[in-house]
Amino acid sequence: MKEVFLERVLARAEKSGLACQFTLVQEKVLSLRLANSQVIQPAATESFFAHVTLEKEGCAASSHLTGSPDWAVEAAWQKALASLSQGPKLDPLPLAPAVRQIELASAPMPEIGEFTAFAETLASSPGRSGMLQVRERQVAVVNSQGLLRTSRRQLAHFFFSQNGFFELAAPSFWELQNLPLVVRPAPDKIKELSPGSCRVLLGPRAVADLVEGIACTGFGGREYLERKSFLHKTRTVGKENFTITDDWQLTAGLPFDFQGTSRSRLPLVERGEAKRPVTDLDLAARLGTGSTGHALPPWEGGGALPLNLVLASGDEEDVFAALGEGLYLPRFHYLGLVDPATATFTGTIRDAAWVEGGRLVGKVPPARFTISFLALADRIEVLGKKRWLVPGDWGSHLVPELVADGFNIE
Amino acid sequence: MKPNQIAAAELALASAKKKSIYAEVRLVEESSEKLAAQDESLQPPQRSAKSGLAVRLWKRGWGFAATCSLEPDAVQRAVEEAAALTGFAGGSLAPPSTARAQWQGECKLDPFALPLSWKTERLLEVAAALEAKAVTAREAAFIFSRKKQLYLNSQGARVYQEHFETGYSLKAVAQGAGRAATRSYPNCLGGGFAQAGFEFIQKADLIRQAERIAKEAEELLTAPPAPCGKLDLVLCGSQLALQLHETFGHALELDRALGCEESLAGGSFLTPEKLGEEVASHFVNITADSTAPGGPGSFGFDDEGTPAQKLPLVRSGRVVGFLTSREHNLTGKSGGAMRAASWQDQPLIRMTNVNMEPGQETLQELIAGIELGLLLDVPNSWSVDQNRLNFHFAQEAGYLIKRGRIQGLVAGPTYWGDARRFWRNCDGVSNSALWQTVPNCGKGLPLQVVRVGHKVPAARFREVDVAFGGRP
Repeated sequence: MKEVFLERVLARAEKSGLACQFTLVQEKVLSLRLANSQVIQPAATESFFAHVTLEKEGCAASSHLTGSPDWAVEAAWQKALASLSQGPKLDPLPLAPAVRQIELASAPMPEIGEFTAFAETLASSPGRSGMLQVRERQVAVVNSQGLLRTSRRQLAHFFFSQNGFFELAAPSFWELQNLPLVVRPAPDKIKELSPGSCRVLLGPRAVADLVEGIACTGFGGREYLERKSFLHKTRTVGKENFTITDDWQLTAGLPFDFQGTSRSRLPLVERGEAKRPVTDLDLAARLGTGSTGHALPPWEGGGALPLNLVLASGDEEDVFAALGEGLYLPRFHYLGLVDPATATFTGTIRDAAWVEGGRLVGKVPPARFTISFLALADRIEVLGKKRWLVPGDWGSHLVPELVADGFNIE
Repeated sequence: MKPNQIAAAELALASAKKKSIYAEVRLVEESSEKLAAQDESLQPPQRSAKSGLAVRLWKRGWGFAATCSLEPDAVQRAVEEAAALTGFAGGSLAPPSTARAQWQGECKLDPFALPLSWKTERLLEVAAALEAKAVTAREAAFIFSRKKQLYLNSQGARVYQEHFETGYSLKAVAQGAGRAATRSYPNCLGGGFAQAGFEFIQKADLIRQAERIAKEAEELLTAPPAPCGKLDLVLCGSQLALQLHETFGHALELDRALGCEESLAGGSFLTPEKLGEEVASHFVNITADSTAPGGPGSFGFDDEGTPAQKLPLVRSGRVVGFLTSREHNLTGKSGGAMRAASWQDQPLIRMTNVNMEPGQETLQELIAGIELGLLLDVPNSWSVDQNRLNFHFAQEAGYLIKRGRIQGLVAGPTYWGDARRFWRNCDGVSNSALWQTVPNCGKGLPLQVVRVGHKVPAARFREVDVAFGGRP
């Protein structure tokens, strides 16, 4: 989206005489999969998405469209306008105040040949299965108060499984290519686990799921208002070594949310003590606070969640040595929330290995666990020094590996 | 579809033919409307439209590209990109489609032609029926969509398809005595859908269902906890649909069974060498049927132009087939299970309507055969391992069965097990089946979410591990 196009959208919003907000997303994605060291399903897509919400005299309507930018904006506007007179009576549309921010600088997308050449290097080792994706996403929020904010981000990411799980992400394809890939394959020997408790070393993807599970069940503004959040029962989340911050700058995130509100570094848990839930303009008004800048995309039903989580690192250089003996778990599989009040999740272990003397000694087959993530956070013994970028849906997280006790296998 | 859209598709095909052995183009136009009510108030109506064009080429492997712009330069760029992405895999394909056909799903009452105010009045009537003394939050939604698709390929196939989908979703949350309880209808996954018009909502008896779930949400506040131990279960509704979906449906996707999804969605305990093996009791018969009128996963032709089919997957407990495509099949023929979630997605092997065939007994007879157990209908949490064996389902509620009769509601039942043992312990299937929907089935990268249909009866399972609120 060029500046001149966004200016046209802003002019439409300001001159309409209606309270309105446009949320525009333009994406270019290159993706492919690896299966048994073959490249499969390579794809290149370009899309533009326009969402508009209009409000006049207490009636509101919204619509969203994909198509070429000028057409999509016009058609979304007309579609919403057509339903406006029949829309329900609502509170005034919450709109962020006028700000102008245009950030269009971004790393160039790779040519297809550069992209596939890198994929072939990843596929060069026999038996690898995985994925490679480069996504450039530009988000713009424009409203009738005179707000115009846009930012463009690239995120490049790959993972593969081959006697283990290995994943890397970076804010650009060019940086990703230069990241050192440490492959730590487990021996083929199978180690069957008996039901019971063990020490566990969680890899970055599993830690990101742990932190996201805690953040989304506890710190979502809507969940807090609906009293589903565990914050109504406890303010203790982990021990002294557990600090979670929402920080877009460290995670290749957006500097504003989907209502255009500025985001700043926001502590969620500091040394084991929970802070406030996150909000958008609507939830903030209901809670009598200011928006923290965590509005979700309006087409996803609204609400507010922290999307750029950073877990404070520790000082352990060798987390495997710190584990000594126990389970190395790079990722959870298919987490299901069983009880939000205790952040209890069920899932299975995947690509796991057994560690003895700080070394992988065998692969561990899938097994089920059902565990309170709050209880697990409370049993963290060691946090790694190095941190990893782990992509999520609308943001990324930055987390270290960690060692915890009391991981219960069923 | 407009002439300029069709011209763009034809331009894409003409250009793609020059760059590949085989080419296909999909032009897709979708529109949708969601009307939602929370408590007494309507939410702003949400309307959407999505359109775009996808090109898929074969030249020693597939290459795929998609664009939302139908301008000639954008279409040409998509063709060039798809061509540049070919050449990375070998293999052979089953014969391509040469169909020249039109297909239209059934729709008696076009939901988009009905006045918005009339539809919202119906919605508010349903939302009002969710009211009960202890109910503190009520949600009701109607969802409508219409999809038009033109499929062209380099072998001369030209298939135009059009259908409507209509769905609804209800939820009541009750609070009191320090507890909260939720009941949903027909599921908590995002709604029940049919390829139909507004007549689907009119036939659904939603007022009665709304009153029932509101009453049950209240009752759950004081309901006793679910019993624990090895119990007999009768599964029905969205719970049996999801059990079938997770442990048989995904496991029978052939790309998955062949290892193509190993790193992402996972593998399968049902690999091709299991064909003919007994993996369930003889009561279990499963069929993939994309021809069923009104089914959420029905079509005339899949997204490779292969005609819709009705294919057995499990017969008398033995695996007899898989969900297949032109690239991944065991017979040299596609089973027609390739679906793309939207214009910008490449087709993947997906469930269509994966149905469990009815048996001989009535629901009452299934219940009468249980000394101590539960009838379960709506899950609120689900998880299964990457090979689709080790599952875990938590429920909104359970109906306690004692000495062959339903005694009342119990709170928080959870059950889990191994899919092979579980399905082998099925010892009865009811004689009538109802449509259910899994509206949020995810697969692929980028993630594609599609609606899948499951027409399921009720079924009885012996000696299942059950606990209250998670695991003992």
